[in-house]
Amino acid sequence: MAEKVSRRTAVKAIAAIVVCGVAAGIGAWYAGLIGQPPRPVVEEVKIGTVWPLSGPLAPSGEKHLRGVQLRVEEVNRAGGIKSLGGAKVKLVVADNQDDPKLSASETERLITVEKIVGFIGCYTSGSTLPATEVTERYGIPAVVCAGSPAITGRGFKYVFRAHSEVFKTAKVSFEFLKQIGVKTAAIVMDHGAYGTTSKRVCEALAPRYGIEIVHSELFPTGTTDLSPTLLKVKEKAPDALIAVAYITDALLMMRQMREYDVNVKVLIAPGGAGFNDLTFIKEGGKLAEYVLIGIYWSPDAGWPHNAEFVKHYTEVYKEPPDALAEEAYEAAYVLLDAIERAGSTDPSKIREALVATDTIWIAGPIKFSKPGEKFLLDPMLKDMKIEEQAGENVYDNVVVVQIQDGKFVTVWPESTTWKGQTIKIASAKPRIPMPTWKERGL
Amino acid sequence: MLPQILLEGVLIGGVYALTATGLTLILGVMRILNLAHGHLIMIAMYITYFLYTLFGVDPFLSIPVSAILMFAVGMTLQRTIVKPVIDAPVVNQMILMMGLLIFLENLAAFAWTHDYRALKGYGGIVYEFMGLRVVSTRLTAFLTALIITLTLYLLVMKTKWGRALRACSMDPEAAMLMGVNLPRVRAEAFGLGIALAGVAGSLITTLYYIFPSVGMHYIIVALVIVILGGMGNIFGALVGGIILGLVEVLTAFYVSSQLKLLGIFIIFILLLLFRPEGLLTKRR
Repeated sequence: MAEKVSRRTAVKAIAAIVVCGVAAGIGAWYAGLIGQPPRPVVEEVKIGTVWPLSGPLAPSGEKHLRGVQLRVEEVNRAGGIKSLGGAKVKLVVADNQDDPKLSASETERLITVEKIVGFIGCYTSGSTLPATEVTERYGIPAVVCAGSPAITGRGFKYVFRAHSEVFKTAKVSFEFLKQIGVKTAAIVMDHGAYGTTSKRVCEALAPRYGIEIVHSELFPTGTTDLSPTLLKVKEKAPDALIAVAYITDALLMMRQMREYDVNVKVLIAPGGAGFNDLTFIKEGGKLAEYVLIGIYWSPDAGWPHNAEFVKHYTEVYKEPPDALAEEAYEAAYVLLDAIERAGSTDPSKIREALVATDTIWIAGPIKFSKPGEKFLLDPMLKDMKIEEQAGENVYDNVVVVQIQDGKFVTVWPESTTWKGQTIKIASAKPRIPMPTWKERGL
Repeated sequence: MLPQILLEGVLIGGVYALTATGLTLILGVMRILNLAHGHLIMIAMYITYFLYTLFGVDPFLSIPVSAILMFAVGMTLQRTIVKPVIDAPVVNQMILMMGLLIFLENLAAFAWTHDYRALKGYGGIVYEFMGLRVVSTRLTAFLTALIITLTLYLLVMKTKWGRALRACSMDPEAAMLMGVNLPRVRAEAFGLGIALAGVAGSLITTLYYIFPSVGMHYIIVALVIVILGGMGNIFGALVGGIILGLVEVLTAFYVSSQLKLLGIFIIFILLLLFRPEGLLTKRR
């Protein structure tokens, strides 16, 4: 009996122990998961974005905003930030009218009043520099879309730039020229800030690629006559013409090159400007053919997800995206990807995730230079008192595009290797050399 | 290269001269500086553009159409907004003309957007002659400008109407006492000046692009020419235009394209300092 009872008791005891053990095990396992102090549930992640949305640059600012909005909408539709329990991303938009003071004050308002945890902006360097002074002071990570080398050259820890700028477009354009055997080149550029910087950069880079600059000149924006400049180019007869011009000047250049029978083997526009405008093809017609553009993104380049982006953008906005919308879309991707990996709304954790970025996307691979690495886009920057650039994308994401049969097509590089994976980039072969105007029958 | 450059200067100068003749005519007769002249040229450019694009009218053939339409525009402007300020202080006139300029630019941007337009498929034929390249559109534009300026010159110097016009420009009160219908002559002169803007507009469409703010490019040069040639002096405008065309291309070729406007303005400042009455005006 006692034996019986004891056996029964023993069975009960064992059962109890097993149950308790399992319960304790589950409990312990559970406790292990939420072992850290409980954290408030994140409902939404606030991202701030500042662009010139009124004034003369409004159309460009609007395109950037569309890029950011598209990416935010894509992330939200796919279930928000998964590592934060599907928290939705909320975009807070502000207009800086391309005024540096307003850019700083609006950024500060977004940080202190709206409590944003990440920042994207601002298109022009003039308004991006002061805005990032503010984000740095508050320790808010900023992914910028602006060209000045100084933006990443101030020793800041919270500034990141994924897309390419003037050095990279010039550098890759020269690599291309060297590869096709160009020995001499003429530089004809717009006298604005971009053209002036480009001219300086191109003059410095040319000798490193064994290219002699036989003529170099700036012309005023919106000129009504380029014939004296083009006649000088004709006299020097270079292999290549390297040009920066806004739309009317680009059109005038092609028209007058034909009229004065100025022939070069290649005409390349680093950075694009007017040559990269759809109007250039529309109004230039046959004159626009053969023109090459060194640019940081192209809709038909074979980078991962590029085609999806172009398709989605065109569906939503009823027009194809341009490089402006793309750079903002890319910036939003970079920031939201970092938030996802950080699994936190703590700006310093998001910064750590940004520093660890090592990915490839619609305009090429992205990996940021770290403070202390002494990364510089070009040794020439030392003359501008820039010792190192941190948060700069270490890859030169630039493609060469050519106008062929009334379309922009990517012609170079043919393909690239990233982490052992070969990606085909070009969608056509470059048409080189450019036939003479007589051969073209124009 | 030098002969080619000189040729360019003369050809472009002829067109510049035409932009300035209308301005100088209005200034001479009415003592009003029509700051909106360049923008009226822009309106004529759009007229020419649409005639070409919609009906296939050659820009040179659309000259009479744009001239007549712009004459009507000029008469209307004169009757409605210019007449009330004809005796007002210069500042008021300038403000009015500035207002007209802003209005026209925004109207054009609203109606036709900021897009850059060109006569599609319209390109000049290039002639080669003793190593010189001449673009047919430039040559035709120059010759047309030359013919129109000379006709205008003869009209003003040799006809009865021209005499009345000159009388109004020299002494409005005396002209009125001599039986000249001053308001009518002024209205006609204004209309004619704007019609010349119409001609210039049609010619420029064959050389340059069409957009709402294109007028600014031409008004600045036209103002310099008017002062260079002597205010109200039609023949002076022609000479002034060609001088300016030459200065522009020579500066661009031998110095830098970037500095071509500088060349023009150095001449302008020297002129204001030493011969403010203009090159071709006799000193009184």
